[in-house]
Amino acid sequence: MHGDAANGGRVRLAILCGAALLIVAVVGLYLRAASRTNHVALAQSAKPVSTERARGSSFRPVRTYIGTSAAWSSARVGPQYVSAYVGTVLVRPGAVVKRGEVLATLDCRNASAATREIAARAKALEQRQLAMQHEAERTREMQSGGFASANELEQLTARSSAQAAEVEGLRASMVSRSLEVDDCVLRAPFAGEVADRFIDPGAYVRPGSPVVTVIDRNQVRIVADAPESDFAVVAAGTPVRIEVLATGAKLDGVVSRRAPSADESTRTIHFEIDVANANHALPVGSTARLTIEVGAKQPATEVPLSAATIRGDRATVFVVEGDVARRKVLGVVGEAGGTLFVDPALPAGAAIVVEGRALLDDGDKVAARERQL
Amino acid sequence: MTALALRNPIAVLMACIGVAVFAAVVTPRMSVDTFPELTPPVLVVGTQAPGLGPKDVEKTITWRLEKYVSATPGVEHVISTSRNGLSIIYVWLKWGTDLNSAQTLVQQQVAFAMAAIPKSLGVLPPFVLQYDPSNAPVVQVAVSGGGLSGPQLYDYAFNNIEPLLEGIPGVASASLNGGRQRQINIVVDPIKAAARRLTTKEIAEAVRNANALLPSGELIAKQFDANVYTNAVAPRVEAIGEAVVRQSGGRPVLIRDVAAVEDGGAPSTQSVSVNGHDAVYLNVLRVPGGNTIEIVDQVKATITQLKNLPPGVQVQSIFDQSTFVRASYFGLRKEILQALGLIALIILVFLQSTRGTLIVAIAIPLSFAITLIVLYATGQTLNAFTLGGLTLAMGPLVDQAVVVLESIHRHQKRGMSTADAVLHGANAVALPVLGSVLCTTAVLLPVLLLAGLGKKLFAPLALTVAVSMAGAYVVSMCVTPVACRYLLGHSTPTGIWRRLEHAVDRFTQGYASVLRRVLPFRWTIIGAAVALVIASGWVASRLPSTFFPDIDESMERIYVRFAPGTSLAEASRMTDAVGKLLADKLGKENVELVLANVGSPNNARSAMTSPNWGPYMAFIRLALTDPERRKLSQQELADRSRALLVREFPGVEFVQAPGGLVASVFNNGYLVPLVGEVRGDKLELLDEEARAVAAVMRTVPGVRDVESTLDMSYPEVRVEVDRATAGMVGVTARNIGQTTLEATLGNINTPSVWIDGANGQSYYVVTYYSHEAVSDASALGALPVLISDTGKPVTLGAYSRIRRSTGPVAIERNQLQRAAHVMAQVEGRDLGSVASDIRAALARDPRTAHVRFDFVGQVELMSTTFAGLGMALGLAVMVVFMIMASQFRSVRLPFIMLFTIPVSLVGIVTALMAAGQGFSITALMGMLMVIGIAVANGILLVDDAARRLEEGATPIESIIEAARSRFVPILMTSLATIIGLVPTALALEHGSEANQPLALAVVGGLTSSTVLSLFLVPTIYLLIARRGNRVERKLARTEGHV
Repeated sequence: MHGDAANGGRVRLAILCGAALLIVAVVGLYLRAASRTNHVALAQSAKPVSTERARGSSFRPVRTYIGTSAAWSSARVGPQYVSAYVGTVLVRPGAVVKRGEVLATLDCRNASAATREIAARAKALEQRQLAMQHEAERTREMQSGGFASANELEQLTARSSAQAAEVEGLRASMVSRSLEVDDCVLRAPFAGEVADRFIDPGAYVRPGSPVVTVIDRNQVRIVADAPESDFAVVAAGTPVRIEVLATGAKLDGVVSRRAPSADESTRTIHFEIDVANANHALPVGSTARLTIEVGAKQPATEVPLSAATIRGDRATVFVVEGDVARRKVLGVVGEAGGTLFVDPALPAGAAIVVEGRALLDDGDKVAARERQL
Repeated sequence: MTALALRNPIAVLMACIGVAVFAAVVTPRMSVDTFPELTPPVLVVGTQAPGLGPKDVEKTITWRLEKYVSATPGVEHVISTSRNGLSIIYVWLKWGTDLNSAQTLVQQQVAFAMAAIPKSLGVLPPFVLQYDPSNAPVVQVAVSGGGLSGPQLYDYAFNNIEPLLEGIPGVASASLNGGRQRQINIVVDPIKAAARRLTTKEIAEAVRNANALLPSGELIAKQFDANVYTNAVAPRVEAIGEAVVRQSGGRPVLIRDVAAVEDGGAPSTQSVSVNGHDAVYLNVLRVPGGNTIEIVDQVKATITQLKNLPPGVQVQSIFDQSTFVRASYFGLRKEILQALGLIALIILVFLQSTRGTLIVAIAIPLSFAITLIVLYATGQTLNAFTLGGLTLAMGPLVDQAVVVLESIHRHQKRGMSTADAVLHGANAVALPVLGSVLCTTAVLLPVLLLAGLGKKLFAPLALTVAVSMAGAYVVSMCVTPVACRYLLGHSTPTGIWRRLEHAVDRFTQGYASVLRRVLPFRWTIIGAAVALVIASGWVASRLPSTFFPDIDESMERIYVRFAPGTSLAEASRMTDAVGKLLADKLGKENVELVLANVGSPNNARSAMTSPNWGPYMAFIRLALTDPERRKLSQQELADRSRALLVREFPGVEFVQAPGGLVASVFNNGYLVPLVGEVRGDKLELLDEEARAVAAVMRTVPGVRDVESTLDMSYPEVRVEVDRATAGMVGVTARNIGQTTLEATLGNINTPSVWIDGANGQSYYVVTYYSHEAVSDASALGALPVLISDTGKPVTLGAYSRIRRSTGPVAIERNQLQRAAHVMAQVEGRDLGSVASDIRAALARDPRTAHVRFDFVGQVELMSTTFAGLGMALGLAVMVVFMIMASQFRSVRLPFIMLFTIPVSLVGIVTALMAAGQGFSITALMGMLMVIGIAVANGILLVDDAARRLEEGATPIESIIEAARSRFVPILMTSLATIIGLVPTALALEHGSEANQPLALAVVGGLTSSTVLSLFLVPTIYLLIARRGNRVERKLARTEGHV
């Protein structure tokens, strides 16, 4: 009996030991698996960020306009009184002309003949008027002797005066005709260059038809129009940077004049810049890009545009201070070509977070690394 | 059935040959795939609205379309994304909905909705396509080289390759990525235009007039008819530049005077490189249900047949998913063959008879042949689950044949003639075998109650096992007896067989002796078993859980997000640097190919599938070398890349994800498995809440790559017109809008079309201001909106306020409500515990306690499927109990067998933990199978004991004798099942990782349930039998007194 009990105890112990071993094995496997589990949370380490250094700078807003270069003087030369066939055109575009130089002539034979006819008629009438005047004087002497009536004298004097007036009329007519003859020779109104030639010999021109254009570009005007909101920006005396597209020349000038009123249809303000062009390097009628800096230069700090969240005139950036990211809301001073200019309250040299802003909060610990551009 | 078979042996033989031949014919015709068809029925509605920002797209298009589409019958839920110029709506239909008819209905609803959208928006007609939400291409076709520019590569691929690929059956789309769409650009120099008093509107009008695609008419005369053609379309691109915009001073201003006319491309919005070289690629997506191998084979054949390739141009297939499918299939096939060999060896050891082994071995291929024919007839493919089902069924079906064989053998030993022994032997076990078949099959029935993806995944496995079991039953009752009748004989073991017989006998006697010694300590045994089960249950509750096991598909994907506002050029430069770093540091032994895709494509069908929503987003795909050729697993490489990228590119957001088809399938339409959703109406509040959720997620151990999809810091330029003052000069809000559009993208809402005579294709002619001239926001202000009669311009900035702001790059919606998604990955932890920790952390944290948060994607899928499988497990136990109760006409005896179920947990937990695995749907499926097999083992034991008790033996003798006699069959069945699944449990073959947890659960569960239940079942039986006897004696005494 005692042996059976001891044997039974061993069996029971063996069962329990077997179960215990199995439990230990299962729990052991669990502990092994648990030890391999990742216990590290992202929040335990600093957030990685890439930074760039802010740079001290300055900013000045600019306005850009498209202008056109215009000649200081420009004249379209053509007949004013006469309609005629063009006899000769002596110049072509680019020709340099002096004042009074003949540019073209018109066929004015009719006008000359009419002038001569009037002269002859005036001469004949003048002779008749002189004879009448003498007859009147002789009648006055006869009338003092009582040989002629006062009425007869009066009639003779009136006829003489009428003929004198007729002579004056013919003379005036003759002057007018001679002007027409002068119109047949077209001359340069000022020294300059021929810009255009519109008509060739043989063409018929009427008063007002231009034959050539003469320009004076010793001084050139750059003309442009600005929106009415820029009225103050284009005040006379404002410095302007001019880029002439035709030549690529870059010039500096000032606004010479500004129209006092806006164009009613577009509400734009006309303004002009005079540019000396003695060497005639600037063509007229060509395009010029005008850049005007507005106001005074403002001190600013440059940061990459992609490093900031801009809403209106405020930009939010993250600045790394030690190992902490600080959110800074700064005033936007301006923007140019991928660079943002912010309030100089942000010191130059500050490490600005460029990558890693998405889930960054103020006060987060960061592991910053400066980005190599 | 057996008698009939024995009377018609020739018919049985013919039936066997017929089944084998049919199976041999149909099996090669079956499609091969990784998984059964899992694609949920989803339609995608894509609408391109060039030039509209996300907020405008949402309110003018998405919102309206969503409303109409949601009302379509069969729609389960609607998800949308409104992006820059693109609205994408994913219409998730209820499982089982016919996609074709749903597509027609959705198309109708979309047409209704579009009728209310203003034409002036220039919105292109929406397309409705069938969509695979896994969004993983089955193969990609890269086109590169030849010195071709981006637009040229794009144009070649678009016109010559894409149509061919999209014509392949099963291909949903082969959309192009990279390069640029060919486009004729009229690039206006704003200075030249302004100097000539011209706006882009006038220039675009001149382009339209100079290049008019118009019908020319038909001449119908009395005597003849003729078609009329004009040369209204410019013959050459340069000819467009010759058109006169206006006459000025009698001189014409030509288009080329103010604009450059170039045969170029649409503005660059995307850049693609393959191994650092510029390329374009076609993303070949399959239709739901498309067969990967067939599609890829045809794609490859199409590529090789391409003729007249431009000199130097290379077309190659990359990221071929069929490689994995094939490897997986061949691996599984090899495992089945290995299992067959091992099982045959086990049978040989226990039966010590080559003839007996042959008889049992015949049952396996015959049962498989029946199964394959049924699978073919029901349209199933050969995949991890159908082949896994075959492996799983192997043990139980061997069991049936062995039980019949053993019974016949036993009857033979009793001196019966072979014919009688065969008939009586088979008939004696017909009912218990049927019971075990029913139990094994019944546990699979609740799978039918699963919903969605779980059902799609496991129904083929359940069908395979059920058909195999049914087939095996027919074979064991018809073929095995006939085979025994003619093959078994009366041979006496000699030599090694004799020694083996003795060893098996000694082992059996040893077991009987141990059982006899331990049975008196019933409560100790029960107590020890309970302690074991409790310990295992405690550990099981802490086991890692994931939806599906990690599979090494040799494809990794890394999503990259730079700071919002980063230009495409800068993002491309940095992404290439990331790709190069990974290739260099991971080495050629690990990385074969690097594909970098930066920015969002500008064609809608490509953009629809691109995870990049803006130029600052990118993704890198790494084609890894075959797993056999590398030392590191895909997961290890992913972890290594993560560490590398965080160190080298601090602050850049990276999200790692496996890039293969399998991994994508279970993400349920999202990029990664761990995705949380926050819903709300106000974007700012949503952003705040999503950021808070992300911050809390970061506090959970193992969470990595946290990223919110809603980012409100994408730069915006707002042009706000002062309507009153602008109206004074004739400037309208429409003028302003059109000017900004033309200044940036061009007149894309009213483009002209030019036809290239060389290839007959039509291309847009778009007029826009030179991007160099409009380099920043302030430059916009200088652009003329209109030119007055006096030739003076009114500029955009004159009556508008141009200011910067920020907004979303995309707006997501779910169920008609705005949503933000917080994505994350896990490292060194399981998805289930991480999700549960996140839930707890979110509920605890004051920042997120009030936030409406839900997991979507894989975690949601895991919750619903696990809940379904949990219910299935419970139902399986109930069904098994009901079958056994009916079979034994008792509720006490089935109760005994139920004890085999909890003890299987010990082995399941141990096996999974030893292999470093956790619970997954495949492991749960394995547990379901263990219930069936373990109970089936118990049935034979208890049935035998009950029979002996009825014959007058004492309870203890009846159970010991039953245990001794059933020991070998039980051991043989269990060992056959276990050994058959060992190759899968060890994941020896690439591609079998999916079934590894299933095999581990079965191997572990069956081992523990077999070993423990060999002691536990007799113990419980004894307790119940004695209690029954006591009751009977008490009843007898009562009757005696009466």
